[in-house]
Amino acid sequence: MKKKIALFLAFLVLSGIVLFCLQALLIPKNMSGKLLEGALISEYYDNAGHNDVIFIGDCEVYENFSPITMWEEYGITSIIRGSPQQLIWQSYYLMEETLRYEKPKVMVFNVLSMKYDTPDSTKEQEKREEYNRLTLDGMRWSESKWNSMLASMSKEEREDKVFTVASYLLPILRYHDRWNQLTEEDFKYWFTRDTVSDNGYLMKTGKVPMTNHEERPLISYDFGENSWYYLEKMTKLCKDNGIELVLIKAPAVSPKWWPQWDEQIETYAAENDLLYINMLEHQEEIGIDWDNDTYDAGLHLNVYGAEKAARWFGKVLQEKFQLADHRVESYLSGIWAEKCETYHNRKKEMEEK
Amino acid sequence: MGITTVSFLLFAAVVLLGNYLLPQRARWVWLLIASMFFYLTAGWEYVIFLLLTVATTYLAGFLMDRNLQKQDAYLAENKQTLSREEKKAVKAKTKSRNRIFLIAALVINFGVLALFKVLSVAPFRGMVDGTALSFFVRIGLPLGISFYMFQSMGYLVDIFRTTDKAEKNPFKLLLFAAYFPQLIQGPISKHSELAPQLTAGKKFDGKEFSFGLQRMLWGFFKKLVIADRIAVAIAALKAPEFTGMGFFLLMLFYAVQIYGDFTGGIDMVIGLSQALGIKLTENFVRPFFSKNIAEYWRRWHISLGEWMKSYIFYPISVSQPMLKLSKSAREKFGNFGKRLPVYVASVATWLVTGIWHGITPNFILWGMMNCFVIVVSEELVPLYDKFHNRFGLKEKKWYGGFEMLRMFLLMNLIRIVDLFPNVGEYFRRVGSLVTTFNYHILWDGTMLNLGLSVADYAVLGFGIVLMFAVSLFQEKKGSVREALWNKPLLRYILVFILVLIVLLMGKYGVGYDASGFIYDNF
Amino acid sequence: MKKLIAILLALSLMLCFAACGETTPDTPDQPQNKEPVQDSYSFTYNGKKVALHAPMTEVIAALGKEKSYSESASCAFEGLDKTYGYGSFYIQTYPIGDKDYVYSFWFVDDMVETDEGICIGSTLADVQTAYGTEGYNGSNAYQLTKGSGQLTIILENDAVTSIQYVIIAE
Repeated sequence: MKKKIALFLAFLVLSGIVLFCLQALLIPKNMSGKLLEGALISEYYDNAGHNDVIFIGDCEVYENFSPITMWEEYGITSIIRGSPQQLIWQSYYLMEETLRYEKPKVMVFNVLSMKYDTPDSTKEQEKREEYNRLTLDGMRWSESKWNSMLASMSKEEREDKVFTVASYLLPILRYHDRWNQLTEEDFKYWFTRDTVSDNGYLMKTGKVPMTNHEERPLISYDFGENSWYYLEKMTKLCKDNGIELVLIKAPAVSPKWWPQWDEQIETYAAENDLLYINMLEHQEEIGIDWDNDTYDAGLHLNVYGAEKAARWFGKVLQEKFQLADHRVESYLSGIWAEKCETYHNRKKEMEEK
Repeated sequence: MGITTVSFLLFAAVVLLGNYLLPQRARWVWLLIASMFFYLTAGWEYVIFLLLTVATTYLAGFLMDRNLQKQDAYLAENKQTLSREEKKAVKAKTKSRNRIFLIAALVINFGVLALFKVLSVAPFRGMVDGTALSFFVRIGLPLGISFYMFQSMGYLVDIFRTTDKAEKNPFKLLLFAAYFPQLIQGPISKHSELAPQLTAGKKFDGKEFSFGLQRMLWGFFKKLVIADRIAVAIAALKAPEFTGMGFFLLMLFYAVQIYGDFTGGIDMVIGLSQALGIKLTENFVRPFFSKNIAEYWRRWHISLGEWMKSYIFYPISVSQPMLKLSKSAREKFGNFGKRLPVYVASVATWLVTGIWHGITPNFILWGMMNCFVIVVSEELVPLYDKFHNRFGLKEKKWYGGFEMLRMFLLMNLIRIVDLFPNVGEYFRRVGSLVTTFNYHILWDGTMLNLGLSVADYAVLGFGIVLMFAVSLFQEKKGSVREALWNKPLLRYILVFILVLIVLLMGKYGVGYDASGFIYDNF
Repeated sequence: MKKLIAILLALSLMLCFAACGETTPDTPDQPQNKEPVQDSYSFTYNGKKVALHAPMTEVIAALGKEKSYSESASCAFEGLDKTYGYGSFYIQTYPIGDKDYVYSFWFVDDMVETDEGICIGSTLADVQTAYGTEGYNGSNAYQLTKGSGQLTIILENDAVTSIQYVIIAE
């Protein structure tokens, strides 16, 4: 009998290990190819701890600001917690989670995602679940991740909530059918990962001159109740923790940032004593050259644009909040020197391609 | 709560745990609570109909039982004084009184079932718009209504026939009707077999428990890996352009799907029950090994066949008009005439079976085709015997295989009628088998446009071989689980591999619309 | 033999059932059709019809080359939304495989009108005459659906300022 139980237990442990390894193999690695964005969120944890500025938001933050430039120019330590089509509650919970790792002086939130009131109001509905994964899978487990997961569920995910929750806890349930799509990448990065971003900034070096982007007018320009709710939560969270919340609209011309939206945010910022900067209004000061500084005709900046934006915005932050120049601290300079080297090598490599 | 969902697995785990933690005499109450919870998650409106059936069943059973007890007491008291004829008359009187209760219960219950069934069909559905009856359309067929009604009505008929005793405790009757695993897709159990087990509060038996879980796992494999994988190709092959070889493939694929779906579901239900210490009646005994249609229907959906035989076929064939018909037909047609009432009863039974599956010409045709093949086979028995004897075919092994293959193909041909929008389309496709010879679709790439990749075909091929191997083992040597019981290491490894296969190759999760069981729709 | 007889007799049974055949299917099982269905809105410009779901190559063939063009990729995933400008109206597409189909079109001046005769600048009364009162939100917009398409008409100060057609999720 004893032998039987021992065998059973040994078997249980062994199957657990096998399942764990299988899960690690099946999870998408996003280390190469088109979905590098999927690796962004998890890269934060290796770089947490000493950042004065945290950027939070969708592609308009992780494509448009270069933290390395802000360091090189002003000695500002910053990091971006961005992910594709990050929705406002996801941003809020990322902010909340960040406080478990560090307490920055400034949190910068890009307000474009105010336009999406619920998971069902985003475009590309059929991809909503995959977008959620790009934000959520990389997060470590915490109450914030749990709440973010519950708030983010797409229509498809809500159909069987128990399964959805189980599949975030045990991602093998989500990625189980990747067994016949495994590539070399999956084996190479089975248990390790490379770093694909520079403190959350995802570099692009291509150049595609801007074109005019037309959008259909809207029936109503009022932001939704849910969006306001989370913006208020962000404001409160930052106030309670003595952190300056800065609202920005990144310098990207599409999707369109309607003047009616701008007005609402401006009013909100004034009422709550927040700094709001619509960087589209400062294009000339920033010096963006729309023929050379965007890699996709104006939707996002390329690295040259992102460096300009960081240079301009870093100065604003430094002047407004008297951020310390950390370049004089040897410990931080050591860390950042390495980051800068990686960054410039990456840039060179990409330019050569 | 579908049976292949994570929710159901969690629910089942809680039920199992609670069952064995509670004292034995409280276990039936726990099962009742669990069943009610399960039923409520399907929709509170459905509970009304479940309770209606259980209440009418209880009442009718109680009244019949009281009459029978009175009769027995009277007979015992006057044992000496009553003549045989008088005793017979007393019994006949009780019977005719009870018949009223029975018929009343049958009319009410089958009336409700018929109403739901009728209103699930398009032309009728539209007729009740805006009336009170649209409620029935809105809520749709209540979960497991056919199964609990068949069981309850069977129970009443058994009391009427005095082959079963009435249940005194209405809650125990409720558990019998609503026992959650079998509500999903049967099997249809007899009260005298199931009820005592439900209320007995079985002791934990490690072996039974383990066997039950293993059987559930096997069911998951058949359903998620095989049936749900092949479903996409069946949807594609239903397109009108697939005739000839395409139709032949559809027949084969559909056989695989319905076998995996239906027997897989039943494996889960019976497996879960076994883990709870409750032995449900078997519903399938490797039906594709049948050599003739009568055998096939003794091995496929057994509990439905049994029910139809006991409560439709048998009462009709021994009814007064039938006995009269038999007598007069025998005088006119000899031996065939003797069998005529049986055939008439068969037609009636298959008509009911067909209509129960769905009030559409397709299902009526399906029932009639089955009946027809049965009757013709029966009539041809002497001819066949002669033929077999002359060539000594029955002793030849290959001939047995040939008979199985023939039966398999014939049943495929009959079964597939319900896939088509109408009967005309079915016959067009069947006809194309002999007019369209488009074998090229097997290798011109068509097969890869059905929604299945090469990997899918590989998994399906492997799965079919595995199911066949297991069936063959069971047919020749007996239970696979029994054979593995004394080899714990091998057993663990095989179980784990099966878990991995289900986990990795099962069709579930995001991007996949969980398909319900085919039999949930009845 | 048994099978043959069975089939023959089953075929004869068919004749009995021919009378009740040809019912409309309860749940029509459509073949998996990847080509979009054209069941929705369209408009006509210079005698050329443009419909939602139409292949963009055909639209360009009919209307001629666009006056302006822009495209936007989605964050992270593949697939380009393309916008073609024709002066008085814009057409946006969605991709299926390597082909683009009309996803949306909208009017920006009064050189084009809807099939019902409404154009930019029409009054609320005009719109109500053309479309009735259903779909009016009571303040500034009309939203009507047809098949998988949605028509939105936005008004400001009793004048139509925007007319847009778009495919909505089915």
